[in-house]
Amino acid sequence: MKAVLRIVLGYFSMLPLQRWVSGAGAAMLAIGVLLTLDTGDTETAIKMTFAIALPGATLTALMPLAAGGIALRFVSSRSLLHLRPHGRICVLLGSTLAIALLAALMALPIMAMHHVFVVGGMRRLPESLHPATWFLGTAVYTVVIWLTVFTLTASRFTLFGTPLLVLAPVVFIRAHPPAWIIAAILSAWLIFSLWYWRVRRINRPHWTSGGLASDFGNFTIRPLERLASGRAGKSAATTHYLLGAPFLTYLAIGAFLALLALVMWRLMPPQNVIGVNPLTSLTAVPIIGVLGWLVLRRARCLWLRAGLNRGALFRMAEGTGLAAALGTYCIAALILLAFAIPGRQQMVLKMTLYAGTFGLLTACVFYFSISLTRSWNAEDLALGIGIFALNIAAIIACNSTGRATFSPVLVPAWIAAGIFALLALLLRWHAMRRWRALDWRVAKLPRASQP
Amino acid sequence: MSEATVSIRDLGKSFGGRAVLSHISSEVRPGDVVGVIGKNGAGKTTLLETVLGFSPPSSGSARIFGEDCLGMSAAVKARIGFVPQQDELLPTLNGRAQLSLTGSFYRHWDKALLERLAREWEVPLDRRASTLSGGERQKLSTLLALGNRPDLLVLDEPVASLDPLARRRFLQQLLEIASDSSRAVIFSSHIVSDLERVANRIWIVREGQLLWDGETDALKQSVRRLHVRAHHALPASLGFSRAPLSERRGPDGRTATVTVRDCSEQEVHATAARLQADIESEGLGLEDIFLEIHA
Amino acid sequence: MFILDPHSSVPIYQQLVEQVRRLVVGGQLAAGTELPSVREMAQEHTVHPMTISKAYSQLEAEGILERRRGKPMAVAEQKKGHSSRAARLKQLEPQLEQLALSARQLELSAEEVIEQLKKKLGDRS
Repeated sequence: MKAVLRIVLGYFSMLPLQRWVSGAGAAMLAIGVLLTLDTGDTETAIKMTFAIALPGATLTALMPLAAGGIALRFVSSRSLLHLRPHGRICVLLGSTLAIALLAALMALPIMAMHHVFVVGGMRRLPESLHPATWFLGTAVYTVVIWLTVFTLTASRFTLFGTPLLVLAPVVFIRAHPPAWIIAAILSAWLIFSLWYWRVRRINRPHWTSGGLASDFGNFTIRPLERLASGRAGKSAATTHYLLGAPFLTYLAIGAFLALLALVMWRLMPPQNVIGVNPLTSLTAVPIIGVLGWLVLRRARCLWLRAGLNRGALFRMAEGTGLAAALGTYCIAALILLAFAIPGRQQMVLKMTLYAGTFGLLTACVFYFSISLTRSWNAEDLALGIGIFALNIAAIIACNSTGRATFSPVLVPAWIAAGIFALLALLLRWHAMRRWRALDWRVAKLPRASQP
Repeated sequence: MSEATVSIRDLGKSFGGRAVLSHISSEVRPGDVVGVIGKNGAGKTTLLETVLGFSPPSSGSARIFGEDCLGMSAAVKARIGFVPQQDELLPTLNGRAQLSLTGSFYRHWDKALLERLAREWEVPLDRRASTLSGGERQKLSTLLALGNRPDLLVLDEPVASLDPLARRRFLQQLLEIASDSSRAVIFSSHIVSDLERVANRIWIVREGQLLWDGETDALKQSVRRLHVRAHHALPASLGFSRAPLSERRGPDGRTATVTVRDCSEQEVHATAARLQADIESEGLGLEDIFLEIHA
Repeated sequence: MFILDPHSSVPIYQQLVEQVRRLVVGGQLAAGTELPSVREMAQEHTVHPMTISKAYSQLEAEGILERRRGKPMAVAEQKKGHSSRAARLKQLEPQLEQLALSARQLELSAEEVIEQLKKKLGDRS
């Protein structure tokens, strides 16, 4: 029983700073709920719930939601669980309880608001604001995300499906999920539990398996053969050390992102063609974020070999990494533009401009990730949240409302482009500053013992 | 007098307020083979990586071939070979590809030497690095550092996963390098017996400080274990001029085993006379010295 | 020819010096005998070459070995005094010290010990 509780607690304290964030979130939740219950007025109740209680609950729930899938895989490795009595059962029970807890956290504010409404005998709330809906909805999303991440980190090939993770919520965030989806997902969890209990062996998350992490594939493309035969030059060697894969891989990833976006586009309202581009940048964020982070750490291997000082090494890493990051994004954007432009020739310039704007935002993400020279601290967290928020804000700002025109709601593209360009330069300066004091004893690649 | 290969002055390193290294000063000259020993967590890896510039020092400085470790020129870096504790092999490449990948950075890359050593050490070059055993990976890592015929070779626990035969072959290669009096080697290892053979200087790192920095022979001559036997109870303090490294009393209070450092023969005789006891002096091997220091 | 123990408390160079000295003084190494080169010795025993050259240098300083150009170190012509009685007795010093200490610990008198020693030596003569 103790083990199960420990596991539940583990989901809320596994990342650095998570305790503080969870604590702050819980405090906000508590205050919001109390204020809601305290007031008899439904208007105030709505405000308290949506301004304080719900954001607080989200803050606490966000990290377990995002990292739960990978944590589940981590904790299931042979060396950790194999010899523990009833190890797997404990993990399953703990995970299920954690899901229930997350759902409860999100449902609590709504329950408080509902109470005020019911007591006040006021107008009925829409179906989507019923506590049970929120509880089940949260549980369902948690299961979907956890299972998806769990599957995606199984091997380096499944990692390609990562963008699905970002796109899925966009598609499914509508009204509350219908009952059959809820039933389906929960039985999926049950089936997963049975499989998990019985399967012989669970691999560690792929991105930490031995040696320099995250080599993207074992394609026998020409560059690899040239390396083996010794005819590759210094630049090919550098690229391979920093990126772990031939440059072509990143273009292939971009094409794949474009494919996903095209599929999504079919599901979204057809007039929202401009919205596809920001979507691409959003899906590229996890890939580019990880890319920059890895390039920074892999550059350690070049410190002695390449004979460069830290400034020159930064420029080399920056060049290679940015080329890969922008390559990924540009291929995706180009493919999407190619599909979107026919029939909308008068919008070519505007759409290209938007594509460019989000390309600059992508560069910002890259420079941010390459500046993460220490393990997460408050400064990095704030910056990361800021950039993510900016990304979302930009998507909203550049979304069109009119059907004939493509004027943005808030901000014209050239202003946004200017802001992002400036931000990219600032982040570059920030990254260069961080690199001067870069300490590879601190910035290490994730290590795993042999499975 | 030739220029020092490595020159460390009052080096200090802290992580988040915790001092991992403090006041380390030493020199490595061409022709030296320096063995670094210390408990786990004493700071050996941090010392080696800070000296090589992977980690900026918090205080003090380290110079390699006359240049500051953080700002080494390409020419200086080309003369260094480093074998890290955790290997940096790319999992999808085989040994041959790794070697040529590394070799493309250096102007002088001795392929013939590496082929010969790969044969002698039985390192499979045609299999992917992810399929090699721990020992084979370590051997391959070491080969990667030898290709540019470095004038300074730094190895961090290079033999931890090797069987005795592989270790012996590795040591013989190390001695080949040592015979060339213009090259220097620094290597840290837990296997003290290897260091006794091959190292002419020893660094003992304890809690981030350099407890001993000198010749192996001098260390063995300096640290001795004294067996004191008296007919009456011994006083609380035996009165050595320098505090002993360790002291153990017999149950009857009339015997004591003391490990001392830099205690001259005259002082031993004088102490024996003063305590009216027999003192028998015993030399210690390097492993025993290490244990006594950490007793 | 030589037995070198790197794990002993006696430094390797000192072991080599004592062994060479004993062999030369005892007459087993005649004058002019060539010793292996520094490199050969180091490879054979897997020890640092500097250790061997340190031993050789010390022996050269003591006059036991001599350096010859282009050829390996060789045993020097020993002056008469080197194989004198006094020198040979001096070689026994460490063992005599040990014997004396053990005798004291076992609380045996000098007469008893000498008695035993004579018997031992008597067996050999």
